[in-house]
Amino acid sequence: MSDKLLEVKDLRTSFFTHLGEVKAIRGISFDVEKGESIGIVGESGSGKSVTSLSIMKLLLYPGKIVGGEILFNGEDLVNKTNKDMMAIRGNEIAMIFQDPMTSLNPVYTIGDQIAEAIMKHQKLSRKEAHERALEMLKLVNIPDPEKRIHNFPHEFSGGMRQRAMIAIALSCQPQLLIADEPTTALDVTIQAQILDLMKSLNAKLDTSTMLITHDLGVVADVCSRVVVMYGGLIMEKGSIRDIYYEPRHPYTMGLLKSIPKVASDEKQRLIPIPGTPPDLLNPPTGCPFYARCEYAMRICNTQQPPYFKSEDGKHESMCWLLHPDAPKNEKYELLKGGVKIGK
Amino acid sequence: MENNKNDILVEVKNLKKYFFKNKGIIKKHYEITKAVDDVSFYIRKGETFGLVGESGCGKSTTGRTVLRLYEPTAGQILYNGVDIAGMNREQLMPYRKKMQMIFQDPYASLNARMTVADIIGEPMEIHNLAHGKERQEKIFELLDTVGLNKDHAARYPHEFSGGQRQRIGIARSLAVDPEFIICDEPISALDVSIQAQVVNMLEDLQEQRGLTYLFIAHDLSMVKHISDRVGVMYLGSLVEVASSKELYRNPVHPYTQALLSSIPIPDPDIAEASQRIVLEGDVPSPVNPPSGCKFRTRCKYASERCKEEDPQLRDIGGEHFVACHLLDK
Repeated sequence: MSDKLLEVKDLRTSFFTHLGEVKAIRGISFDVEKGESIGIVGESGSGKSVTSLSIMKLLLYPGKIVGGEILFNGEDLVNKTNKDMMAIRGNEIAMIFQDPMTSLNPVYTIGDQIAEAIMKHQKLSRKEAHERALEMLKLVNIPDPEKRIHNFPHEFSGGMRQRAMIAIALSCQPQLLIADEPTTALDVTIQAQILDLMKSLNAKLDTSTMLITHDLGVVADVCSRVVVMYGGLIMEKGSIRDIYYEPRHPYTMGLLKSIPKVASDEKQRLIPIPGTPPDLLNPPTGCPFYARCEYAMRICNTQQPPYFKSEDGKHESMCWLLHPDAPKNEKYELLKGGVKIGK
Repeated sequence: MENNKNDILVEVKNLKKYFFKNKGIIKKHYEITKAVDDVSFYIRKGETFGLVGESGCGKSTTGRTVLRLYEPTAGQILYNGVDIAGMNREQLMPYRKKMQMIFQDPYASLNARMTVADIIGEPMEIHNLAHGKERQEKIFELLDTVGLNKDHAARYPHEFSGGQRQRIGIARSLAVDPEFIICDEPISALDVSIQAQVVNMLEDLQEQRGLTYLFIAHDLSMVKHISDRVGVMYLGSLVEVASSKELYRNPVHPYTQALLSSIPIPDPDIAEASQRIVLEGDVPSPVNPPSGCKFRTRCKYASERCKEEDPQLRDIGGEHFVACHLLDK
């Protein structure tokens, strides 16, 4: 218990639109340990961003947490008032957003924006806060920080803005950093810089990181554990090696097979996942992946599968195929643990 | 290059595209953005030529200029040996039919007020092909080709998902039976599992119809997968051109090396073992690019010579072209 920083238990979040209730998250449970990096992978609409907004309690109307618990250091965040959350947001849990172009305020200097977070949470004077801001800019490797601190966001490039965002997020030394697609809007060479920075800061500051992304490559590089989401549910979770080398859920296998292999020489055809993700306005009663799954059985359509754990209990997959009574599907057995990628 | 001239479909020679922006208040004073600066390459019939680079490197501008969506500032665009760079609207019409484009954003490139049938039928209307019932049939056939069905014809773009919209865009580009299609980041806006669907479809269409592609993307792993040959662009110039196998196995230009090493590989073991070359700093502005080799400000091997002399693309054997002074050492 002591080493668990964040515990999400059966979290459910819905958006009450005029068309009806859109169940964006339909009961997910996972935890984040102190100092670790966890990756949340999924396609658009899988509920990965809503998960992070729920934890931060930044859901806007008509979004609402309808059930479950979010335990942060043992305290439930779901019942906290907005005022209580203000003391936690930015101070203990910080967030980096996808688009560094729009998440900075264009009319304040970078220094002011970093100092704002520091002054808000720590009883420091303006001058001290600006000194702290300068340190932060140095920490995230902004060249010439003494000058740059007085710049406005439009004078920064995309990569530098994302560095500034990281500086703001880390300025109060949060225990948990939620990074929602931090490098999606950036070029590959800049992405490499930011990922390197995040990795080194993670080691230096002992902050836990929750990285939300659709890029399996980024996760493999940064995280030690992965949660795979689909249709508002967690399909599979486990250590990075479990997920990449021994995936047991057909969705994870499908994802891994649909990306091209850079390291291999021969030209192989990609194996796409047919169909499209489910409509969460009327979510399927059974497994959300049922309609696209090549191994689907009758039960998959009617009943949501439970989580089947591996022997060490760390690798959990939500799939009926793992049930001891399930008929053996040769092709699936062959693929289980057989999806070697990049090699 | 000379000996198999016959199967070259598109050849671009010293293409330049500058954008002029008036910065003067009273007197005219132009700021010049050299988006494409002296680019030459060729594409063979039936092959896929990939163009990669970071945002702002001029890859999309190159694609659009080849199609004459932008007026080239200088240079030649040879289509089947005929220079189309200087043609007027009328002369260009038959070539417009042969060259089509698939755009990046499937949300912005389809007219929201037109039905799918109108969207796909419009190119036929313009080129005066197939009328009445025949056109209707052709539209249904095209929808079928891209994996949609007849019922979709009367619907509007907002009723479709991103992947389906991209399919509509592809059907539109196929409506005039083109020979050459420029795919400008056709999969960047799509989800991973949908990307593979679209890429496979593009490959199938190429095989069935003998299409030639210019595939523009920043996703290096996808470019490697789909292309026969790849060109790497940096700040308006091509720095390296080679077959995709050769380029990924043996990158010569320091920029290509850095670019390739920054691809995140979805394999924990390889990710751990690989030594990533992290480039310092950002891409300089194309308004005021560095003198000589444009990459020198971020290149760890840069010398005095790189500052003074602009390296030219040259063949280092086996159709592998590199523009770098390091080759002389």
